Amino acid sequence: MTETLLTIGDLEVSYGAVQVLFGVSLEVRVGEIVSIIGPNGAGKSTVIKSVVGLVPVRRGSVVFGGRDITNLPAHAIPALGIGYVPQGRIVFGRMTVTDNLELGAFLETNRSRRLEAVQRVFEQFPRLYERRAQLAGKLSGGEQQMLAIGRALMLDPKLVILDEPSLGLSPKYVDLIFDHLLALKQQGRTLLMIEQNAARALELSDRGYALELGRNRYSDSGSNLLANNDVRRMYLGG
Amino acid sequence: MPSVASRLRSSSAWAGAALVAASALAPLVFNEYYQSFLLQVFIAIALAQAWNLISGMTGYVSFGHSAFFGLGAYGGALFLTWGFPWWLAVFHGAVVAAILSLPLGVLTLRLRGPYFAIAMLGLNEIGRIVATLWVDLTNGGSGITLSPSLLPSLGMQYFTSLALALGATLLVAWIHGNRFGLELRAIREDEEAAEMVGVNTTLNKVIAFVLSALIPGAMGAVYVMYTSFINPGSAFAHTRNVEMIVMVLFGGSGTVWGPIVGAAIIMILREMLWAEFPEVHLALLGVLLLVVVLYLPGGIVSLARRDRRRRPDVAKAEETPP
Amino acid sequence: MTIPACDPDHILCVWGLRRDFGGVQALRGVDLHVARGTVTGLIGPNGSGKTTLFQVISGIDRGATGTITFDGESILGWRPSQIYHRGLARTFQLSRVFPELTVLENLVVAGSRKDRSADERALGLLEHVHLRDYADVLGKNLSYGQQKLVEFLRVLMSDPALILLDEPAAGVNPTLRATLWDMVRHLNGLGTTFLIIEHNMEVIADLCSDVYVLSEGEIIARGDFAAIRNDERVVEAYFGKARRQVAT
Repeated sequence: MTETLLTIGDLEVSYGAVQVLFGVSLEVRVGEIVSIIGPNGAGKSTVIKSVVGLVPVRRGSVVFGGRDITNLPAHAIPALGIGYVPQGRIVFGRMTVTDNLELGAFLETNRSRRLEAVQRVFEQFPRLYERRAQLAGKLSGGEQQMLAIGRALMLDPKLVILDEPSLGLSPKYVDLIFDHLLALKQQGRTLLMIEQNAARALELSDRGYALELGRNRYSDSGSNLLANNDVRRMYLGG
Repeated sequence: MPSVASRLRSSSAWAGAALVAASALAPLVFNEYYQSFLLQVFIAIALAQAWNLISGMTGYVSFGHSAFFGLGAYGGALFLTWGFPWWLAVFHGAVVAAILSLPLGVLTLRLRGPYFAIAMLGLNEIGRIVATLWVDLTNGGSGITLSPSLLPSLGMQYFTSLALALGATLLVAWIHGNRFGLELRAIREDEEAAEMVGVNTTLNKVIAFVLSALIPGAMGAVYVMYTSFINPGSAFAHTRNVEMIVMVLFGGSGTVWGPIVGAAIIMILREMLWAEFPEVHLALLGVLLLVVVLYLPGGIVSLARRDRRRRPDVAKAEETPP
Repeated sequence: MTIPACDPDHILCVWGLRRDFGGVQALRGVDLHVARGTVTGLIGPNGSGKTTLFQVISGIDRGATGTITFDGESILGWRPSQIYHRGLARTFQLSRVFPELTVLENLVVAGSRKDRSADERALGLLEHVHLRDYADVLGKNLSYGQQKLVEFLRVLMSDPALILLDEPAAGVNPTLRATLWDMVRHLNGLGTTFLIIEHNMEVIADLCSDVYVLSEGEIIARGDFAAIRNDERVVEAYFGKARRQVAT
């Protein structure tokens, strides 16, 4: 029985007067890839942001590694062992690839350990090694996404959370990124992601949760959800 | 439009009329020293209103509007040296500034925010450099000295500057209340959205810009008559730029009375300090700017206005979801 | 090159619209026709180019090539204010009410300059949505839902023939949302044509007689919602396609 790494229980979140999550629950076990899918307005991004402290939780709980982390401030999250890759390939365009990566490990005060972490990321992403001295702003979209993921890996997180890793990428890079994600899992990391490209995400995932309008709708293994026609219909108001 | 605003306007109209009357009668009571001081206050008010028009109301904050003052000063000075009557020289100052502002506006108004501000600053510098180098026209760094025989009396200068300050204020007041002013304010708020609801932003901006150049142009000529001397440094002086801006921000940007209040207070402060501590003047402007930015973004006039235009509390109750 | 004729029954015709943003093709040859008097829906996954299409049609984005014919006239390259005066209005996804202008001023500035009774028109519109008491309230002091409603009313001031609505109900509470859709129905009944970007499929199904589906910069399907919904390509556009073929 694999241990549960992250549990989200009955999450309720509002943006001002408008409620977006009405009691969402999910769990992620060690070594899994779990995807959250669902049509626009389902609240997928909100769930993620609640976990990493970017959005206040009105009711419900977020438990990570046995510890209640509900409403912890965002800056406390990396130290817990959670690596967050936000939507949109946020990299520091005017800094080099290497500097961007080092920034990901700013909590690590020991310089040589930091450099080791950089090396590890370069082994994982040879493309980044080739471009190590280039300014991040000059990289292609897919390379920037690799950099964003690499940066999240710098503190050797137990859980990597990704917000729409394939957004805006060409098909070639989508394949590449997903291959990298699979490799991460094979190394023993745990991944939680939300993805617009539901089919690809479910194909990769052990389990998935389909949300609709701020509520759980379906949860099952990745392959079952992929084969379930009702899930597809959900996107067009089914 | 709501009756309260028109009530406000009529009481401030009375106040304004009283001020103008008092100013008109002042030469009978005050000696030349005070008349000169008031003359400078009127110049400051007119400049402040002009800046208010393009920066306060339209949102295109200019860091170089004294460029038009300088153009007007040289335009006026040259007309006087060429033998034209002084009132034509004032007119010429305005015309020179207005005509040059048209192409300049079309170019600079394409720029947004800080870029526009700095471009205008650049314009001021270019004006100063051209005035220095075009020796044949401007006598370069030596400047132009006007013989007293060319100039009108202090009394005429006084009333001319009063008339121009009044004219500038009336113009701003008129625009503030009419459709053109509404469109300018919409441009200030959100230029793209204004364009989307049919406001011809380019035309509006250019008109506001030309008007805001015309006034300093005229005042530049008046100034030249007052000092009987002009050179690049005094025509395109930085302090004037800063003063214009601080006067409006301190008094109340985008309002009609703000520039008047701001100009009057700062001119009085300057007068009080000038004798003892002339260097303190710029530092004082800096302090006032800080005060405005930190504590009084609406300027002095915002203290007097109670902003009743908040939403009724009823609204809040209706908004909470079931 | 001859421009294909736009059927007089169509108030808006778009042919071959292309928009590149330095290597990224946001629109790849979009063809779209909106019939007069309809409520037409525009749906598609995030990033498919819907808002870009609106930016181009409304004149804010002038970097596209192709043809746009509105009410018989080619409007590609026109300024947004010209397009607005011609009768094509558009709202934004995020509210762009003028914050330091009153609600009344927000409306009046969007009306015609020559309109002597602009104030009354504006007050009448506010009355219709029970916001008349807010006429003197500054835009920034309204709730977000009210702002979106005012923004909607704003474009009605010029009595446009075609209104492009970009997710008009996003971030708005259910009560105000209902008011909004009622107004759309009411105005449509009076002859105004609508092209609406929406994610809420219920609304699309309920309101729209014709629906276009945009995916990755091209139109991949068109028809009434019931047909669209079962279209394989549409489902795939939203759901994605697995790398390996999965037997369903």
